[in-house]
Amino acid sequence: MTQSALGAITASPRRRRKLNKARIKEEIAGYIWTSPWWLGFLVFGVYPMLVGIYYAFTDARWVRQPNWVGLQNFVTALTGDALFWPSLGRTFYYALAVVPLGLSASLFAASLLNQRLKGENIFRTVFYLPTLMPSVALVVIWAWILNPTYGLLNQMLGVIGISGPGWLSSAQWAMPALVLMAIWGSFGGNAMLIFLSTLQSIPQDLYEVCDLDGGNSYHKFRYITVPMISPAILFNLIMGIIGAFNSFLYSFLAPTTPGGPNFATYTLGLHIYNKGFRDGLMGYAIALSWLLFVVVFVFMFLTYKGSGQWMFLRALEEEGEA
Amino acid sequence: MSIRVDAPVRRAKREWRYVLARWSARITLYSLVFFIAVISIGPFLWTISTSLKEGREVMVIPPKLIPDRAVIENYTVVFQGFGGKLPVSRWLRNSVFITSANIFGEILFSAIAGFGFARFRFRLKKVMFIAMLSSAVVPGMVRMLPQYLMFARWGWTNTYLPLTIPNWLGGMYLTFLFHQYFCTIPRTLDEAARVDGANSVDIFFKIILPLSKPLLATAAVMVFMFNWNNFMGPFIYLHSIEKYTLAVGLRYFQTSAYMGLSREPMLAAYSLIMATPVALAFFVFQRYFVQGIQLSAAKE
Repeated sequence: MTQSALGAITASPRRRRKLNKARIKEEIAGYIWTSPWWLGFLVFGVYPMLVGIYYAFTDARWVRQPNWVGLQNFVTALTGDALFWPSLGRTFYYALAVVPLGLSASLFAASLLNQRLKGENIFRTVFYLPTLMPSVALVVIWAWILNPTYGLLNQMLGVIGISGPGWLSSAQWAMPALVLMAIWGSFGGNAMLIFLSTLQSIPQDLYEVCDLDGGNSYHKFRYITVPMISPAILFNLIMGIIGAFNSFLYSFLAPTTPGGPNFATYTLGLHIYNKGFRDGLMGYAIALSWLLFVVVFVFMFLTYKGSGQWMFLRALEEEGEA
Repeated sequence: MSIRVDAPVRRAKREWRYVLARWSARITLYSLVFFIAVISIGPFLWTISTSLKEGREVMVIPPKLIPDRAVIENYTVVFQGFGGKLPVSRWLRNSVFITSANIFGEILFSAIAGFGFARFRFRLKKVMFIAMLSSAVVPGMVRMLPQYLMFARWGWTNTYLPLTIPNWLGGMYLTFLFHQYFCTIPRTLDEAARVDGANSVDIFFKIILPLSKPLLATAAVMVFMFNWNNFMGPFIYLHSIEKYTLAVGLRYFQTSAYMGLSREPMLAAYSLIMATPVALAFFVFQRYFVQGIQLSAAKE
């Protein structure tokens, strides 16, 4: 800053032109070096999205020339498609179960690991293992464990006198089964690692001060831990919401028929997949995907806005700026 | 701070209570950790056990964790492609090819772009950076179908191009990670090299990349994990059986009626064969990997 100001005062016109040339060279170098990103971003990100917006207003099928149909796709989805609202409801069911339960499990596991355990690294690795499982294989394994008659889980429930439900073959229990798989497959993953490193970065003196003031462990958790890890909670929450609303992998893979039994696990993501890839109604499916995008976006926005209430660091920053 | 001296008896009592409370807390803690560890690892043990069983032993009630007779035939059957009926070794080669192409390309191009963002000033940098970060919150769903139509028009379906090139170019996650990491490398190193007559390409390959080995290892594990396990991409784009990857092949085997009742042990063996390389890579590079994840969350 001071250097350039000095330069402006002392430099001769010739010198300044030379500086500009160097700046231009740097500009060009910047665009060249970053080109792998922005080229890909434009070609594989922006362009398909713009084309997608156009397609959402057409009757595009596989390769046929698309015809403009105005808002027809959106009207059909919201009023004429018997599967739209129920599948959106199931998407909410799935996301509202997986995100809070999964994040609590991750946070719980991270706080256990944060207690200066012997063999912390070993446990961390063991907790991470399920995340390494390919989803196709995960689903195969859980299909056996959840098998109503000879599956491990119902056998174990049988030992303590509970007759287990039909899990993936029961319309009522299929969704909880998916939630179970999804949480098992992710609780020890990246969210837990992020929580763990944030927990480890909390200064220990804060807890000591709390001890001196006569605080108990609830006070410590509520007034030190939660505020200090609130940025990590928000980050994991937003990532979790995006993932849960869009994922249809488990509904596709786990039940005997995708979305089954009797549409019990038929989420909006799967509906979009089916309309697009199974029925070839690309225009309609893309319109549906934009509706899903709007839902996710609104949900994310509310989470972010609402986080102002419990976000500690932002309040600190604002105080610092004022 | 003042220390109150109580009667010795009361203090001893309090200490005894304190020790007891501490011990019970530790025991509770360790039992909870063990409980979660069992939940994490249990399904793996169950899969290993299933993979060693003979077909008829799978549906025995109550289920047995240790099979009466352990056999390794299930593994050899998988490796031999179920008696030559399924091209499993082809699938393995395809998975290795796609994964290594992505490890090479995605890391190289993301590092180049990350270097551009970390070391040069240019007018659109801020705009581009914001665009990059916000692309993280745009769900892949809205891109999936239009991208498919685009690639179909280009004749890219049933090739490995849609599974590699879009990862190489425009990948947001690694570009961001490399940017973050390169920013921590002091610029004085670059400047010293420039004085010695080095250009940006030299600096990138001879100074920056060698200093970024931990992140390169992290990135390699991440890309490996994602592509090895990826199901949806190959499933959508690959149509002929001999072009499948291991993940799509597993699904194909699982859903095809053939092989009858005794296929559970083979599915288990297949699943374990698939999961082992990723687990090994994770164990070897674990320390770097954890650091990389933490770096990625540091943007908030």
